[in-house]
Amino acid sequence: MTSPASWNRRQIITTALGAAVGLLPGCRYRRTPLSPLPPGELVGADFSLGHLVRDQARNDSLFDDSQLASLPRVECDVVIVGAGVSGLSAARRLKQQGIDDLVVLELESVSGGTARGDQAGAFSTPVPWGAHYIPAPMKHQTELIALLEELGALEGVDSEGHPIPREEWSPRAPESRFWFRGSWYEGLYAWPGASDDDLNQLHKFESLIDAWVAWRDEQGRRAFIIPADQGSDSAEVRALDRLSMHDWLVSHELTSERLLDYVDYACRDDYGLGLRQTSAWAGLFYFAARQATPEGESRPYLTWPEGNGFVTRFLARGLNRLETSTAVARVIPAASVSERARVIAVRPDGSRRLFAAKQVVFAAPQMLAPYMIAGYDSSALLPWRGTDGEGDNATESNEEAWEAAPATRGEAAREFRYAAWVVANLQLDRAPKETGHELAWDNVILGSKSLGYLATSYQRGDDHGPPVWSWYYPVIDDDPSQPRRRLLELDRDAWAEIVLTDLERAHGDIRERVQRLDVMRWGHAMIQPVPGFRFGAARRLGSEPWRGIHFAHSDTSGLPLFEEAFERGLRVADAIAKRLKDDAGEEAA
Amino acid sequence: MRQASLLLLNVFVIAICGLVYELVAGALASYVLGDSVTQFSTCIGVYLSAMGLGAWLSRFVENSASRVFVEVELAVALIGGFSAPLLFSAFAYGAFFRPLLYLIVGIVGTLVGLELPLLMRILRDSLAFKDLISRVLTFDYIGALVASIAFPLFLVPQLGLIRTSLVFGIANALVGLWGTWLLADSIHRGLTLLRWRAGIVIVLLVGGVIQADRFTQWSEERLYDGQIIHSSTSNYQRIVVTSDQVGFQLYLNGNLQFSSVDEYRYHEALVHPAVRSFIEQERVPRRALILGGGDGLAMRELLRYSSLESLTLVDLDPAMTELASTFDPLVELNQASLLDPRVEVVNDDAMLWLEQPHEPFDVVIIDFPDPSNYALGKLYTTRFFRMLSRVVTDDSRVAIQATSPLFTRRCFWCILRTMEAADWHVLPYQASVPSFGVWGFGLAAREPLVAPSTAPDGLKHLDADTMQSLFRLPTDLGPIPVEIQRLDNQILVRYHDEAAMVTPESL
Ligand SMILES: Cc1cc2nc3c(=O)[nH]c(=O)nc-3n(C[C@H](O)[C@H](O)[C@H](O)COP(=O)(O)OP(=O)(O)OC[C@H]3O[C@@H](n4cnc5c(N)ncnc54)[C@H](O)[C@@H]3O)c2cc1C
Repeated sequence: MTSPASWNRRQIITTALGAAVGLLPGCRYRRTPLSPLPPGELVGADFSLGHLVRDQARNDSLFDDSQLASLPRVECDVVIVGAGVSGLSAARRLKQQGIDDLVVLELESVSGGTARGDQAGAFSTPVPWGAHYIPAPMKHQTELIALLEELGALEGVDSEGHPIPREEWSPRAPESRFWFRGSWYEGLYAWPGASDDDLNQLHKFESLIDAWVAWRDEQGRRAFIIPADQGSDSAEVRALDRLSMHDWLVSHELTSERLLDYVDYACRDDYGLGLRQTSAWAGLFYFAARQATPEGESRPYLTWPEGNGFVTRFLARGLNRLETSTAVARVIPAASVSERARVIAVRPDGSRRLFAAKQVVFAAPQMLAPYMIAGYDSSALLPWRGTDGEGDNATESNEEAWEAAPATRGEAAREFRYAAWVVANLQLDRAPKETGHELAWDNVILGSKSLGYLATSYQRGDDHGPPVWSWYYPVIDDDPSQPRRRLLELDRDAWAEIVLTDLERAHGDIRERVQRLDVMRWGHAMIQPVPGFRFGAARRLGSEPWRGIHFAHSDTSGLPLFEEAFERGLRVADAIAKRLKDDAGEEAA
Repeated sequence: MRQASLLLLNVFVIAICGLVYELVAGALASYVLGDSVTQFSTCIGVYLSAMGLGAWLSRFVENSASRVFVEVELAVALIGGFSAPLLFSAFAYGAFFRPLLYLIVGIVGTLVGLELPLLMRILRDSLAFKDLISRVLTFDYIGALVASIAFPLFLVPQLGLIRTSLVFGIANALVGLWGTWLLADSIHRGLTLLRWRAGIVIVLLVGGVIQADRFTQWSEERLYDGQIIHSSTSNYQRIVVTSDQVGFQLYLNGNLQFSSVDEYRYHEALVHPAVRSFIEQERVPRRALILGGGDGLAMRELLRYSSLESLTLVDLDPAMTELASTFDPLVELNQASLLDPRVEVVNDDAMLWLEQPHEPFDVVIIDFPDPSNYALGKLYTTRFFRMLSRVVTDDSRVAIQATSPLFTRRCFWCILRTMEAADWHVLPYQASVPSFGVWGFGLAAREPLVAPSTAPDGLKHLDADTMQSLFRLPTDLGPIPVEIQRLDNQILVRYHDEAAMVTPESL
């Protein structure tokens, strides 16, 4: 295998975008000499602090009692590790519950986690660097509705009582278009030239989704609903988690190329996973959970120029003790009920502090827990429940699912797998050339491994000013022999080349138009709902609290979604609030 | 051998010319008929099959290959060279564009298809077969490459379609002329006559190049009824002013904006109801805003009110407001309204301009083009009308042009209903403007309002009686159920597209 540094342009491009790109029509005559790349930089991820904590976390001698006794000590009720959506929602809920003595610690210099965006930076509009939309909630999602109402993001309700998104924060029409055989078309499904069979299969797929929307278990629960925990876990639903979305489609005789591409796009878009790697449960979730009624429309989206960073900024605003550029290196659980957990955090200058908290919210990815939480890795599991028996949601005994249960917490945590992503923002001087349907919010290049681009400036209502586009790329390892994951190590210039080559298919003069191109690389960004994960033992275990440490990250839901992160944050906060109040009651008694 | 290399050079030139004609036809067809994918593929299809026909026909040329080659060059030069001007004229006269297009493409294709087989036969004697094939095809493909790169990068931007086709016609004719020397040995008789003919073809084409500018203007004039007295292309639109016996007209992207003959009907109806309605509340208007209206005509009407101290006009296109302030016929018509010291002209997207804070206005006049695309559609959304409410007070009056309630009835009601959905109170009204037919407007305020019953003195169209009659809507213009125009549905643009078929002529 070659290392990325020694790749040539061709290898990089074909690895990133597929062999077909080199053979595009038009490229034959127009093999333009490589024009110089626009300026720009790699943004985000504070690697130096990241490395610092990683080194520290591996060095147990830094955390013995004598060492810790000398650190500055901060006492508080709750420490929250990680200021992504889940950590920030937990903080907000705790405050609502009257628990003000809390500290949020965040490794990066800005809060928001994978939902971060830039409000005013190098671009002529705010830009997203990660998560960028939320489907408007249905009426049962009362807590999310309350948050969005506070944000002013809703405008009344529709005839069925579901909230309507605020107009300018809903994708502008036309919502999406796709590039296909030399032209843009409206929509996402490749309809031009589709055969009757293709269309019949599409309709069959849609009616299968409708059937799942209508489906209820004996307890009257839907199969797919947001948050996912409110959905059914009956055998029929769990069975869906055992096969891939691809196999599910094929088992229904859905093999139309166009349909498979369409569903594959959906899986890559939401999970950073291909059709063959996504669990059928998750694949169906994407379509069915967002539909209120069979045959109804999908819920409209809410989106902001800086993506979901708009919401995290709001969530962070009310917090007076949110410490950024502060990485947690170690969490030492309380030795007894009367003692406090100790959380040791590092600043970029190497200085350390110790936070002594009654309860801890772990809102960073589970995969880090074995390295960060003392004793976690080797903590053996009683048959299949949390070791301290704190959990109360693992009530059902679906023995078969637990057969291959991990033996330790650490083993469970290592079953959490994450998708890597690359996001680029481009500043153009004016609209590039194109043919076919007018610009849309979401612009998808069919046949590309990228997801295309969001017209960020267009969404702001700007039709004539310099455009800003946000380009998304999930790094998918469908073939282990392909060094695709190494793409992530490529530098800004290599990525800029990939982005421009990708966009060049639809916009011949993109290289002349682009004035700046910044790149964000996300290493372990999104939990991957591969077959077996959602209903498997590892996920269940990872979401059980452990010795006063509560896990809130969206990965514990098995779905990389805002609503899940939000919901987990709330539930964890409620559990902590109850515990603290009970303890206070006992003390008083 | 020397002759062979020179002939190969010919192959190169011929290849460039051949591809250029094809590209010219494709580009013109896309320009005129739209849908470039279809136009290009049909042009290429016809062209390639005609080339096949030409190649096949070459077998019927017996021993006079050289002469026929020169003749073919001259014919290609003439037909290919004049293809763009011919097609433009057909378009301008609105007649037989499509048949002519395919006829020209077919003839040029056939002739071009003849070229290579003939040349190969001529070269057959001086080159080995494998060399012959390899060299001829190489030069042919290189020529195609040069043409395909030069066409979009240099030819179209620098020369334009008409000159491009003429210039390459000249190149073809020169190849023919040169052939009369290169191939003199094998042509034998009638050389002089051939040379004369080549000369005539070249003269014709050169004449065409010299006249190209006037021709472009001429063909453009055919597209409009009147004579073009100004035309320019700004970053946003194509602006054309035409004039005829009775007056002059402004077109934006080919859509008539006004005709000087009856624009006063439109602009009086647009402006005075709002101002009178404000005054009839016993208020004195001081500040007014015009959104759109870069022609300065609505401003002319506003300036009749001497109490107005501050007038702001927000129009996207600096080229339009510039024209309205400098182009004599227009300045005369708008009475130099945009040059009035009380007037401030802002060139910005009205939607983005409304995002900034502004002092409230007493009167707002909205005069945008019809909602024919998404960028215009956004100016008629609930979002827009909500933003608008931030620059008014409860007493302020807003008037909006709202398309024709007759030809685009759904658009008309959609615009008014959308304003209502954004919490405006709206009175529909209409005026008759011969150039447009029945035209629709809305008079709006934050509080319930009544129609004005007075008009200022000195107007050409409105007096107190007509003012009141504007607000009486005949039954056939009455309300119909419509959806509300939002940024995330742009239903109005769809209504407009669907109605675009109905025009005064088709009724
Ligand atoms: C490119 C991309 C696009 C996406 N698009 C969407 C979308 O459109 N809609 C959607 O719903 N979801 C989307 N997602 C999923 C998104 O991840 C979730 O919606 C949600 O934001 C996850 O929040 P979280 O709190 O669970 O996790 P995270 O966002 O991962 O937050 C974890 C936080 O913990 C911090 N942390 C980690 N280690 C430490 C440490 N040692 N000390 C202190 N802090 C630490 C991290 O820096 C981070 O801020 C997208 C994700 C990516 C990567």
